[in-house]
Amino acid sequence: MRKDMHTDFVVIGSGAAGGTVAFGLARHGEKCLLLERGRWVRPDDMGDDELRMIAAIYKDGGAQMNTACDMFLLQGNCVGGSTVLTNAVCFRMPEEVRRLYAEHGFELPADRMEKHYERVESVLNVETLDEALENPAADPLKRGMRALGMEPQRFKKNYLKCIGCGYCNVGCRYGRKLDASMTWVPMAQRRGCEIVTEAEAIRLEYERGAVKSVLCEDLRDGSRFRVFAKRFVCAGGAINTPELLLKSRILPRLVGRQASFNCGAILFAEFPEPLDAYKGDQMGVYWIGEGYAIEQLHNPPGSFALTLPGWYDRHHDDLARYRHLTSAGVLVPTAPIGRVFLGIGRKLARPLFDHAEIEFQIPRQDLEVMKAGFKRLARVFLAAGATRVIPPAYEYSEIRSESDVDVIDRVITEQKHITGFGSSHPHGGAVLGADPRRDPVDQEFRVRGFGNLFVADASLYPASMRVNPQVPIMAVADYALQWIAGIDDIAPIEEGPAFEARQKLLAAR
Amino acid sequence: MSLNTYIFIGLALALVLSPLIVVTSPIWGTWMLWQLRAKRRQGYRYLWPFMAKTIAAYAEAMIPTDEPDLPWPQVARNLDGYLHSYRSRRKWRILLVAGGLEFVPILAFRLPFTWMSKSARRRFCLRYLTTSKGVWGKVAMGKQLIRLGYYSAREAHERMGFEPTKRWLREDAGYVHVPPVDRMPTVSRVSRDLSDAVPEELV
Repeated sequence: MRKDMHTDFVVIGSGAAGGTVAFGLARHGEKCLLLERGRWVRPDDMGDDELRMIAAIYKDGGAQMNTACDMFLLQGNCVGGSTVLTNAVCFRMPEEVRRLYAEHGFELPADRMEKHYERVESVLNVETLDEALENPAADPLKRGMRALGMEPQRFKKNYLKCIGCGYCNVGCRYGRKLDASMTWVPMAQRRGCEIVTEAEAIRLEYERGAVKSVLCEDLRDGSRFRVFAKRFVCAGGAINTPELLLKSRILPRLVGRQASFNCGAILFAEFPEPLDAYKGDQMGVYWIGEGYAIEQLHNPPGSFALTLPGWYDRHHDDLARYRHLTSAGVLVPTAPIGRVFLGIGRKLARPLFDHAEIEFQIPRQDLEVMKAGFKRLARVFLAAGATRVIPPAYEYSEIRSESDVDVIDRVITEQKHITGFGSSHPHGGAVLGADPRRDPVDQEFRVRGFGNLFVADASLYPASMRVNPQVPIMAVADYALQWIAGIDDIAPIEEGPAFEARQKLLAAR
Repeated sequence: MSLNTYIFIGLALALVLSPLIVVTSPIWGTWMLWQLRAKRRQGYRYLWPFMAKTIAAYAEAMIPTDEPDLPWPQVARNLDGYLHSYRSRRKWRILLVAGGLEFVPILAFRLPFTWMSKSARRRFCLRYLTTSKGVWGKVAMGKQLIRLGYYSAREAHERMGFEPTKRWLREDAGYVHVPPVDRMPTVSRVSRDLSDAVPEELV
């Protein structure tokens, strides 16, 4: 049982944003405490048992869905948050997205952000993926793209000497992925930040525009405790932060709105020769254009079986061809029409419904973009020499030639027709903007009406990022420290595992 | 309709039928007590025994082989371990899907799932559980559980042609197993582990 705690800053959530903010505070000598609902899963506790790892690091055991149950929402539930289960893909925020946010009132000055990106990328050791680590399916994919006049690019990743085991999505058991649990969080801890794991923030307690404490549940024994602080930073991500604000009855008419997602689904292709695409990094190359991204993604057997379309015999027979199969995803940014809310069930049967619901159906226009992406990807696979392409549809179909590509229009007309439809990149829900009637967070990252309550995570974003967002989330959180704690720091960060590794190498030479 | 809507319809139906439920409570009450005892005896940590039996039967119907790579009850055991090992307020919905599968055939005027013969179960699955629509679509989501429980098991990998990482990883890739660390190590220890593996391209 934990006792009540007192500190200056409480950061709720230890993922991309929370870890960065906690480190920034600790680096400047602030007394802070990091609250995390999940466990601290160390590399040595990780493994290649997908079932065990999905339960250990994914929120809801990887089964978080929207209300219609036709969309998966994959998020982390451990120290490091979703950064632990990413494929280590690193992008900066696209310039057009930065401008779009600015139109909304969310100003991120380009020159200033450049410094924050440099700091973050230095800690994460962001480098272009070594070609030797690409899995064998990257070659045909690149060949197919080039045949269609698309120039493939290799992902940038936050690794330190990756060995390409192909299990990024279930956590890096070799400790090579520099996620928040390997960088920001232990760096903050070393500087005195207290890390409290397996503790869920239940409600913010406040009076007269000032939050006094956060009521927490110790998930190990069900007991409750409070953390009193001067300032509170919500950094639990685009679903947890709105949920906490809604449970605290803070701006219920504004919070939870404008949720958007980078939505995606996976196409499968079979090649005549065995590819053994599991031998190497899951994600090697990508192409962006025409409103969507095509990203290579090959999963280990359990996750592969989950996403492969087809029923019964067909599914089993296709899996027997695992060595010949590979896959890639189409990622589409969607309009901010989603909603995070506490349903009526919470009033009627609280023990069953005491959680946020997520409502989202992809708009028609975005669905058409996604289908265009599926078609282009099918053509890429065919041009690469695939004997058949399997679109992600409940109605099983195969594309064996150009004349079959339009079958996608027939088998997919709604979101619920797409197998494995989902998102690992939710945005919005506590959006930052200029309009107090629309945006619950003001331009100083402060929840409107509260002097000491801030938001620093992806729930701030008024539109979908279009790319894998972990680096921009960290950079924006680093930028937000100016308002959260008056910390105006753009100096290089000379600590952390990547820095120490560089120093060691320099010393050796 | 969302899963919640179906749940509310179910609860409303239960309310309407509450007199019948009360009258028959000695029967289902005894059955529940027997299930709880069997759960303890059989070592299930989350699933009720009848659900485990349903999952095993669904796996047998879904995966078309007479020589499964792992015994069907093991699929249920794997899922029981999975469901037990994470915390979630939404987890009971998975129980609902697993339990619902046992009784949903009654809606199609058939016997409960595990009471059917293997061939009848398979015919039922092919006829009703190959959709994403309506109540059948919600129950068919159980297929994901089966796939997870079966194909993520190492025993199923060999038939797929999958080799574990250690068998194919290049020795020159610098494979170094991270040594055991405390549950919450200091960063200096984390750094020491990592600095054993410094890529040349860093400089």
